[in-house]
Amino acid sequence: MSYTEIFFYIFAVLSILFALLTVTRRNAVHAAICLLLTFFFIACNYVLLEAEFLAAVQVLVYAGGVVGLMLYVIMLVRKDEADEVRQSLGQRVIAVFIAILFVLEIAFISLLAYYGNYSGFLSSKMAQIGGNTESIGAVLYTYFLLPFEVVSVLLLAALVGAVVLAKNRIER
Amino acid sequence: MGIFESLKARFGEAIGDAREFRGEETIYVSKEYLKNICLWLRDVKGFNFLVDLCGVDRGVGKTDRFEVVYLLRNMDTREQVRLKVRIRDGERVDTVSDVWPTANWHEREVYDMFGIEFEGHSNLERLYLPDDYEGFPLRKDYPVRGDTNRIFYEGGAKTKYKPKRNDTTILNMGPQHPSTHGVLRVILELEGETIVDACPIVGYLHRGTEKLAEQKTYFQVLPLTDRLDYLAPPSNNLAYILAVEKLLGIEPPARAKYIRVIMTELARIASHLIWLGTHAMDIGAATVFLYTFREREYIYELWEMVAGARFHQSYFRIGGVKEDLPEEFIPALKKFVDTFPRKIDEYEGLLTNNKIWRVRTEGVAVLSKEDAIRYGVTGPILRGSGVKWDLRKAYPYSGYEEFRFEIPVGEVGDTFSRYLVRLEEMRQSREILKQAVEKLPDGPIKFEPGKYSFPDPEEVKGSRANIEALIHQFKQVIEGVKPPVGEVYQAVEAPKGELGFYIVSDGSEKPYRMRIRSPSLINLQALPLLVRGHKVADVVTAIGSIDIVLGEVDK
Amino acid sequence: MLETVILTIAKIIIFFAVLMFFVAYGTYAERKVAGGIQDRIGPLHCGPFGLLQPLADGLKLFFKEDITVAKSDKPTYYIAPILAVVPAILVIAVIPVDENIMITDLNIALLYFLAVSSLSVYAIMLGGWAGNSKYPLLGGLRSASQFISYELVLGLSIVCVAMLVGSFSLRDVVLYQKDMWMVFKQPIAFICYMIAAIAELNRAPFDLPEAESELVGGYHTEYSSMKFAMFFLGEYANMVVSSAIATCLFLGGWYAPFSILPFIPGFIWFLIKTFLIFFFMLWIRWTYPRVRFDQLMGMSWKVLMPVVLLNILVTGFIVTFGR
Repeated sequence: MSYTEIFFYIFAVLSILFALLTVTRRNAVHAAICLLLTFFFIACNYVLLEAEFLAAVQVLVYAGGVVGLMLYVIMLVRKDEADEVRQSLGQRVIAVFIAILFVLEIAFISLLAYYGNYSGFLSSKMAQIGGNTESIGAVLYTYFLLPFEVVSVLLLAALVGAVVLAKNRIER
Repeated sequence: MGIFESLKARFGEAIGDAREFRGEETIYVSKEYLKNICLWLRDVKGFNFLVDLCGVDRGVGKTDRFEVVYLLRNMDTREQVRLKVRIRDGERVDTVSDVWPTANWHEREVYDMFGIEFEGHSNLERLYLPDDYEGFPLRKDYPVRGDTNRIFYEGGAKTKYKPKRNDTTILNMGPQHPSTHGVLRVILELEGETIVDACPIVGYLHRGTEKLAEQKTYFQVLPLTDRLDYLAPPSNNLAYILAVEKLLGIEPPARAKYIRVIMTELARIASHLIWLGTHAMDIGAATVFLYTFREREYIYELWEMVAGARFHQSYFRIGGVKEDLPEEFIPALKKFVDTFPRKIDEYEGLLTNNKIWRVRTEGVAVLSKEDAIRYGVTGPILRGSGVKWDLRKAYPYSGYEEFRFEIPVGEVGDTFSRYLVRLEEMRQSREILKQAVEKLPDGPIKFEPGKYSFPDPEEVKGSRANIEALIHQFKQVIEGVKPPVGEVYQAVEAPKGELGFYIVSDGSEKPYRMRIRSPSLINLQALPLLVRGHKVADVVTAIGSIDIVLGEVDK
Repeated sequence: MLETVILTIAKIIIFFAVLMFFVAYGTYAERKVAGGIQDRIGPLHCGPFGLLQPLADGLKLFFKEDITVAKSDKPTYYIAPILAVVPAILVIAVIPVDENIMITDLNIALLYFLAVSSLSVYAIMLGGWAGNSKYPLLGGLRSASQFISYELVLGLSIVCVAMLVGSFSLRDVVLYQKDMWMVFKQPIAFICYMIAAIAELNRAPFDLPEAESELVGGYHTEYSSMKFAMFFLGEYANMVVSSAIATCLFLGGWYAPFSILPFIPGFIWFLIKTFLIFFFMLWIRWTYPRVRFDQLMGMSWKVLMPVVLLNILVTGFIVTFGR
C-alpha cells in the first residue's frame, strides 16, 4: 500500500466519522464543528487527488465561510433555549429519499468512471500542463461559461433577496 | 413687582409667607397648589431651570415635620427663588418630574432619604440604597451608623428593570466594567448592538456624606467634600467654604480669593485632563491618556507645594486659606502656564482632526438645547449643547468678575462639541491662571483668623504664644463657628457642572442639614436620552463625554 | 525519502522556533514601542533592557489559576484556544525566507494561506460562545462578521498580485519582484491588504472583538492562565505571519531595496522588512482610536470592496492588453 493510499483511508474514515457525528450531535455548535472537520478532511482527500485548488477553495469557502455563517446564526440562539428545542421528525421521509438519490448519483458517476473511460476535465494530465488552477479557470470560462453565469445570477438574486428581507426588518 | 407679590396676586391663599436671608428669597407654598405654581412659574415667569430639589427633616414631633425645597432659576434674568412645601409625616406631594424632568431622580433621592412619596411619579424607587433597605437615613431619628446588625443588599436586589420589548437582550454593564469610570451600573436593552433603552443604576459608592455632615462642625465637614469629585477637590472645597462664608456673612481677603481661583482653575484643568485621557481611552486611543497624565502629575506637584497633599488638599479655610503660597510655587506655576498651550495642541494633534475620532464623536450622543435645560444638565455638557451659561459669569464668586475669559459654546450638542468645549475651557483656565499670577495681590490670607478659623500656630505655642490666641484655639476645637439661623445655597462652576451646597443652619456649630447638588449625578440622568438608538460602543462614548465621577454621583 | 522527511522535520522545527522567538519578542517590541510612543520607558527590570520580560510574562501566565467556567460548554471551551494558535503556525509552511530557504514551495501557497488563516476565526467565535457569557458572545459575533467581510478584501487584494505574477506560489511572487517591488505596481492592493490584515488580526483600530473599554475583554473575557495566553500567542503569531506574507507579496521578500547592499544575505532583508511591517502595526495601534462596529463593516463593504474590485478590473486590462 502506498503512502497515498494510507492517507486516503485515514482521511476517508475521518471524514465519514465526522459526517456521522454532524448528524447525530444534539448540540448545534458541536454539530457545526464536526461539519467543519468533515469539510477539512474532504479537502485533504482533494489534495491526494492532486486537486490542490479545489482543496484550498473547499477550506476557504466551506470550512472558512459557510460553517462560520452557520455558527453565527447558531450563536444568536440562546444556549439554554437551543438545548430545549427538539427537532421535528417530519423531514425523515424526504431525507431518506434525498439520501438514496445521492447514493445513486455517486454510484452512477463511479461506474461511469470505471467502465466508461470517462476521466472528466480535471485529470492529472491536465494538471501537468499548466497547474490545475489555470485549467479550472480555462474550463470555467470556456466550456462551462453558461452554467457559470447562471449560477452567478442565481447567487446575485439570493443576495438581492437577502438585502430586501433585511431592509424590511429594519424599517419595521 | 417681585416674585412673591406676583405669586400672591395670582394664587392668593396658596402662598404662605416669604423670607429673605443673605439675598435669597424663600417662599412657602401650599402643597395642593404646588404643581400649578410650578407650571405658572415655568411658563409665565420663565423659571425654566430646576436647580435643586431636596428634603429637610425639621425634627421629630414638629407638626409639619418635613419640608420639600425647590430651587428654581430663570436663566435669562438670572433670578432665583426657593419654594418650600411643608408636609406632615406620611403626606404625599405632587411630583414635578413632569414639569422639569430633572426632578425625577431628585424626587427618588428624597423618597430614598426621607420616605416622602411623590404623587404621580413614574418610577418612585430608592435611588441610592438597595431596595430591601429599611429606614430613611436622613431623618433626624435615624442613627448615623444605621442598623449595624443587618446586612442589606443580599441576593442582588435592584435588578427590577422591565424590558420595553420582548425580542431584546439585556446586557448588564457594570458596576465592574472598565469604562463606567468607577462603580456605575447601566442596564442596557439591546437589539443586536443597537440600544433600545438604558437604565443607569447608582449608589454603589454611597457614603452618606449629607448625613455625616450633620454630625460634624462646619470645619470638620471640609475633608468630606474632598471625597465628592475626587478629581478636582479644590472645587468642592470652594463651593462648601463659600456656602459657609455666605451663611456667616463674611468675605475673605483679596489674596485668599486669588489663591482660591488659582487652585480651582488648576483643578478644572486637572479634571479635564483626566476626562480627556479616559474619554480617549474609552474610544480606543490609549496614548492620549499617558500624555494627559504627564501634565496632571505636574499639577499635583503644584498642589503638593501649596497644600502638602496631592489629592485631598482641604486647603481652604473659612475666611481664607490655610497658609500662604510657598516661594517656589509662582515660578513653577508660570512654567506650567507657559508650556501648557503646546501640550493642548499636542492632544489636539492626536485627536481633533483624526478621521476615526471624528466619526466616533460627531453626531454621537446628541443633546439638544431644550433637553439639556429640561434635564437640569450643567457644565460643559450644557455649553456643548449651545447654552452660553457659566456660573462664573452669571453669579460671579471669589473674584471671578476681575478676570477676562470667554465661555466656549458648542453648536451641535454632540460628543465632539463637548470635546471642543472642554479643550477650550482648559485654554481659558490657563488664561485665568495667567492673569491671576500677574495680578496676585499682597496682603492677609485669612479673614479674622481665630474667630472663624484656627489662629496662627506660632501664636498658640512657642515664644509668640499669647492667651487670646489660645482661647481662640480652644473655642475653635470645641465648637468651631456658629452661624446665625438661616439657609443659603451657594454654587460654583465645578469642572463637571454646577456644584451647589444648600446649608440649613439652626444656630449651632453643626450644619442642621447640608444638601449637595452634585453635577455628575444630574448630568448622568440624561444618559438614556443620549444613547437611545446608538450602538453599544456609543454608550461608552456617552458616559465618557458626560464626565462623571462616582464619588460625586453617589455622594 | 528518509532524508527528505528528516530535512523537512528539521526545517519545520527551525521555522517554528524562529516564529516563537518572534512572537515572544513581538510582545516585548509591542511594550517597548508603546512605551516610546507614550512618553515612558516600557519593560526595564527583567534582565538587561527588560529583555527577559517575555519569559517572565510566560511564567506568570503559566502559574496563574486555570479557571474553567462552570456553565461553559467544555469541549468547545478547550478547543478554542488551540484553534487560535494552530492556523498561524500552519501558514509558516509556505513562507519563503530566502530564494531557497522555505519549508515547501507549494504551487497554491497563496490560496493555502487564505484557507488556513480563514480557520482562525473559529477560535474567536467558539471562544466567545463557549464561555456562556454575554460580553464574549458579543465579541464572538462581532468577530465573525468582521472576519468574513475582511477575508474577502484580503483575498481580492491578493488576487491583484497573483494576476500580475500568474502564479499562486509565493516563491514565484517574490522572484517576480526582482526589479521592482509589487508595492509600486499595486499600491492600492497593498493598502487594502494592510487594512484587511489588521482587521483580521483584531488589532487596533479594528480590535472590536476584544475592545476592552466596551466588551471588557471580548471573546477571551472568560479565559485565564495558559488558555488566555494561547489567544495572545495566536494573535502575535498571526501578526508575524501576516507581516511575513505582506513582505513576500509587496515588499520584494528577500531582495535588497533597489539592489543596494547586496552583501547582506536575503533572509536578513526579509526579517528586517517583516519587522518594519510589524512595527507599522504597533504604531497604528498606539496612535488611533477604535472605530465603531457599523463603521468598520461599512468601510469593508462600501469602500474597500469596490476599490479592490476596480483594482482587479484595471489589473485585468493591463495584464490582457499590456503585454
